Amino acid sequence: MMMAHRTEPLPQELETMAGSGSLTICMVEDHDEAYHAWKKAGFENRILLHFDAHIDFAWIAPTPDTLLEQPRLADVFSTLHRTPFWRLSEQTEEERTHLGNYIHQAIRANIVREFIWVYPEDPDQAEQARAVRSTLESLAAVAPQLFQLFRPADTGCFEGRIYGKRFLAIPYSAFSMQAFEEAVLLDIDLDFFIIRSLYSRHYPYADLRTPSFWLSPAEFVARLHASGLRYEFVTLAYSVEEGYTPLRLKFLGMELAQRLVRLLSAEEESRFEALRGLFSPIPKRDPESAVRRLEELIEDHPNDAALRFNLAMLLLERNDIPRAADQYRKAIEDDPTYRTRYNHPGPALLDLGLRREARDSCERMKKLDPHNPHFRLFEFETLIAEKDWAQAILLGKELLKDGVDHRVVRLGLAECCLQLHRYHEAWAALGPDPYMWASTPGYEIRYLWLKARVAEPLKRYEDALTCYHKLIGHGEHTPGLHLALARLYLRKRNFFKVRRHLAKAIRLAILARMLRWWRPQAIWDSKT
Amino acid sequence: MGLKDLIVRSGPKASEQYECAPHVKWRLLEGRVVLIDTNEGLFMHLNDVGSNIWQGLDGQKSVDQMISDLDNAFDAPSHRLRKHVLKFLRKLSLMELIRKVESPTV
Repeated sequence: MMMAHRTEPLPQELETMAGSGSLTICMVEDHDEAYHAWKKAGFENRILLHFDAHIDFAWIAPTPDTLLEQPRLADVFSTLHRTPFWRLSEQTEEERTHLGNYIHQAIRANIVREFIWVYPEDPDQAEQARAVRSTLESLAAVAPQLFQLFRPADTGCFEGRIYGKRFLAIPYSAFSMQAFEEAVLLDIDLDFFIIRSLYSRHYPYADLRTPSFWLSPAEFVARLHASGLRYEFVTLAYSVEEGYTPLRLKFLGMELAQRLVRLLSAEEESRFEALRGLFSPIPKRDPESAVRRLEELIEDHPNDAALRFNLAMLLLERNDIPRAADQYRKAIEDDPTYRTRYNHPGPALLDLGLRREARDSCERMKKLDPHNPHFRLFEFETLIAEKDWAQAILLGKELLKDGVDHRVVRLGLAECCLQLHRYHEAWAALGPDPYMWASTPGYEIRYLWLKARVAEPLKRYEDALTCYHKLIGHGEHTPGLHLALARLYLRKRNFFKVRRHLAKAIRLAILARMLRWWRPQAIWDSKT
Repeated sequence: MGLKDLIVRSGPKASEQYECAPHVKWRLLEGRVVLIDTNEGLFMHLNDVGSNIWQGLDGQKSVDQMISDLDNAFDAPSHRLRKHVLKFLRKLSLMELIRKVESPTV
């Protein structure tokens, strides 16, 4: 994924000496930024200890050059046989690194020689282990030569080899039993503390309607210290922007970072305790006293955005809109990252198909920030989900006019126009260059499909052909794609290719069902 | 669609020049051409004669010149070589692995 790799260093006081060696904590929003941080720091051959509710490992298909770079013909065949997935894209592997696959890239770049995934502890261990096993088996099924998964132990521990390097997946309870003779790269995603069950129907998100956490940073750090684990470099990802960590719980990241560096003062302890108390089910503090407590804390810490944002949310729940709006305004003044698309659970709920809850959530937040462009974007997405094409077109055009030139708007607008057979408008909405704004593989694929489908009725056959070929480059092999190619080659009178693509379409249509039954769905991208 | 279209696609002419299509990546390995059609996602490797013909597709030589070069390199009857080269080039052209070099209009 081509994206700005932004690494937010901690405030200076946290980049201090801890224990005998220096400790660097790198706090990032998107987890793939960790890879760039390791690379920048020049790490090689390290053990990676990855605390996360998601494995963050997905295959990155090699480019054709990898094949042609082989010194001997036998090596070409062996590589072709060993790596059964190819993406004939012009983008390099590095450019295709994103938050769902950055560990693959770290292993390939020799930063990581041993990858240990510590997954959350769930009361139903058997169900949790089944979910982990299913994830690992589907990864191994894609490239059995590259990922050998050995027989799992009863404890939910899974061992294997990825590109010949040791891989281990263990539950949180088993991590302290591991002995490490060297300092490890500690990589933590905040959603590890929040998402507990990897088999729940909300996964890969937490249950966003009642945000809570199953493990506190204090317990985690105490256990980390008790295990005697050595670490010099910690990457800590908030993962708010994709909806995995509810924004209200972002403070856990700061608490964790501070605890990793030093002991907290009594005053800091009480501040974090007050925030944590808002989310603990037992004993539940009554809303009135929770509001009072936060207000007291804000008097002492007027620039703490986490306190203000949480207070705003509490007041919003009590329908005290003027006070809530005031606290929200001050929170985003102190920390503009609190005015994000994910400052309410709507987008994630929409992804889960919970449209009514998503709309309610958005309507509630609108009361605090009616002019936030993200809410109009959300409304636009909702209209598309509800197939209200005409209304969506009106809103989409309005958004573009107001300068919200987001990929969601362009793709959504094109889709709506396509549904209503307004091809010229759809073409105009898609614009000339897919790589300007369609930065993630998912969007790029959607863009190419839409463009090809719009180009055909507009008799732009060469454009359609180019789009379909690019889709093949993205690993899209579907009967529909080959049928479309056969149709276009028929227009070009290339009967040779028509026959080939028709044969492929038929073969894929017949085999697709069998393949689905025969092996699990390949996970190309575990998150996005 | 008519007979004319089929005749147009019938095959390369002796005077025409051909070159490798831009979406095709290739390399010579152990005397054989290994190529990847990035449009279709196809991997191919050619035999000795095919590799020889492929290397002659530089956009400069005409099909006739290529045939006479091959005539010197391989011990085969000329008429058979010509037939096979034209058949091979036709297939490459249908697969869109090569493209005709348009001669500049005078």
